Amino acid sequence: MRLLIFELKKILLTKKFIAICLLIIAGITFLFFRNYISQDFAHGQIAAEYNEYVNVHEQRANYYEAIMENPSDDILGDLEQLEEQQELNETALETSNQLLSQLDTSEWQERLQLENQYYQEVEEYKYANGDHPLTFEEINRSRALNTKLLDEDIAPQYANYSIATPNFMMQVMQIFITFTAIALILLFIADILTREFEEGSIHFLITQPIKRHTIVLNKFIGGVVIYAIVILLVTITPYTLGLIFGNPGTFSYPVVVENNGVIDFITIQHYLMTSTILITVFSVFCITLYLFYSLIFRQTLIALFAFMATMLVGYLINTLTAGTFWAWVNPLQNMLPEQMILVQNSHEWYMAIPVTLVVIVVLHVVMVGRVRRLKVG
Amino acid sequence: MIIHVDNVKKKYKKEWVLKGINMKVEEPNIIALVGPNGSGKTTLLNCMTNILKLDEGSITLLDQPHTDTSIFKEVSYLQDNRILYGHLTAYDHLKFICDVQKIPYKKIKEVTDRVGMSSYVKRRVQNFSLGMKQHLLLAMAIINQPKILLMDEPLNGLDPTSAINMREILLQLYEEGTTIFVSSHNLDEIDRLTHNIHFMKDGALLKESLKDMDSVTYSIKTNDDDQANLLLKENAFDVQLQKNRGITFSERDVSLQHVMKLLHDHDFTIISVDNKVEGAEKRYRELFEEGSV
Repeated sequence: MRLLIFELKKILLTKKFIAICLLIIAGITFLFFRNYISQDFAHGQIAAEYNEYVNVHEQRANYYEAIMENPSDDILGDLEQLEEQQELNETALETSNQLLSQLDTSEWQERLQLENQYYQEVEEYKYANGDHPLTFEEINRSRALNTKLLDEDIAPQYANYSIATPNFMMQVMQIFITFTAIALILLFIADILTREFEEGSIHFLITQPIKRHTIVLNKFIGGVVIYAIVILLVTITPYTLGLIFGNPGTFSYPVVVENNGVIDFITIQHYLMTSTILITVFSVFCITLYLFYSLIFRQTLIALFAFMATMLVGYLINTLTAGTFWAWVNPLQNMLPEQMILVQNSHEWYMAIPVTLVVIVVLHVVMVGRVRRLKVG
Repeated sequence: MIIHVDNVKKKYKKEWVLKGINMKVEEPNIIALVGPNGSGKTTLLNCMTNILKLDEGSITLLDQPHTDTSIFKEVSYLQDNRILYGHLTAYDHLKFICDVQKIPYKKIKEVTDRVGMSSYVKRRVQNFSLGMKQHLLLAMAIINQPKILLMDEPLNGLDPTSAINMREILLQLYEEGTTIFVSSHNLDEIDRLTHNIHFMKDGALLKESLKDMDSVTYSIKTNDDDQANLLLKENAFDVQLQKNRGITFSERDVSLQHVMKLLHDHDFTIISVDNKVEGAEKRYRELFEEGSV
């Protein structure tokens, strides 16, 4: 405990730590106020989207009109299908025009119902071999989300510009778990152990009446405490901003996930919880792995290089492998927690946790052995 | 046995840097280790503190194997100032040692007063001069009242006043029962501290130490040379009182440490200690050739 307090002092009292923490808070605050002042812009984006739908259908309508007036020989056989497409396109055009015209006047429930009607019509149009930029997957996801929101009576939020507390927290968490957490951890702990070797202060520690393995153990706990501080900043800052300047929203807001090819939902609360668990486990793994490399190589640059190389290999393995087996045995599976949560095809989000914890324990056992025999020149 | 170094050998790659060092210290003493750069002084100290692994031999400190970390409750190692953490204060360093060695915090004030660094104990080490860092290192080394104090070049960066202060502190510690094992290039200061000087060359201790060699003549000035002279003669010390030089004696006949201890016990103030013969430096030049340091 005494060594831990000393370790924490060494880390927390640095200008670097304070500066990075302030940067995290500033970054989240900037993002929130960007969302805050971009509400009209986000609304405009929806209008632009609807407008694009109208344009698509108008262009298709002109195409059908032209082709029907002077049908060429090679499409004479498809005339019946073209007439069906033209009819479906007319219907979708009418609905998309309705969507655009009622965007500013209708209630959200009315708009979502109309959107779903439009998606239904586009789907039918595409089934009739009509051409439309929306894919079946996008149509299914959007329609399912709208239905869920209507069923739960939850007002929709702008995807990337929300000022509702839960949605903004999720937006921040998405950024945090996509490599940002690992980058921050590296910034904080890059020289936590290697500096002791590089500057010679390890001599001071190992000539104190303390067990040597506690030196590395306390570095590890110090790293975990830093991570805990960062995750607290990443959750408390958006929560506070949302409460004060945004709106409360609901943590039951649905998030679309793909479960064995089927569209499913989790709540934002569930997303925040699972992503926190996954990124925490992976961060603890990264701290352990980095300390392990620090102990072996004793130089910051080499340890960083080895760590980055491991991450790259992990990323390649994740890209090249799939399936339940790899999900159970690959500790680097949680490198991208977003994917683990949102796309759970042939694996569950928690599957890589046990193997990651086992590797963490094994690395610690190896480190204890090494540090007991530690000799420094 | 306070220190027992038994046939210690150490090699880097294929080169032996310690070639069978033997040393026994059975009672509190001040032992100096002198030798040119690369002679193995720091390696020996690092081996004694288990910073470096021995290739052969064994070391016991206070009858315990040197690999037992609990010995550091009673053994301190004053190393170079690279071990300090720049962004922490001197107080943080001392508090950490108090924490891990279960020493009451009031010792921090005592030791900083003793070393003369109370005025800047709350300042960050990165703002310290070389001398201030040496003060902190000394405070860190003696805060636990060690039975053995190992020191690697403790006088580096010290101004004359600080060097005198450090010498006085070391002599006090010795009088309090601490065995001091010091390596240094500062032959003049070492000469004033002890004549138990061991020379080291090419990873080996030379058989002769200064105490075995021709005597050195000392002259000591005190606040009352007449009374001090009488006291020493009453205690059967073969000393003379000389005009302008104070009390003089030959190291062959009288131990400087015993004289200092007796005078100190009787509250005499030592104003200066000088050696007429060049002592360590002279012998060093003979052993290592001038200019090789």
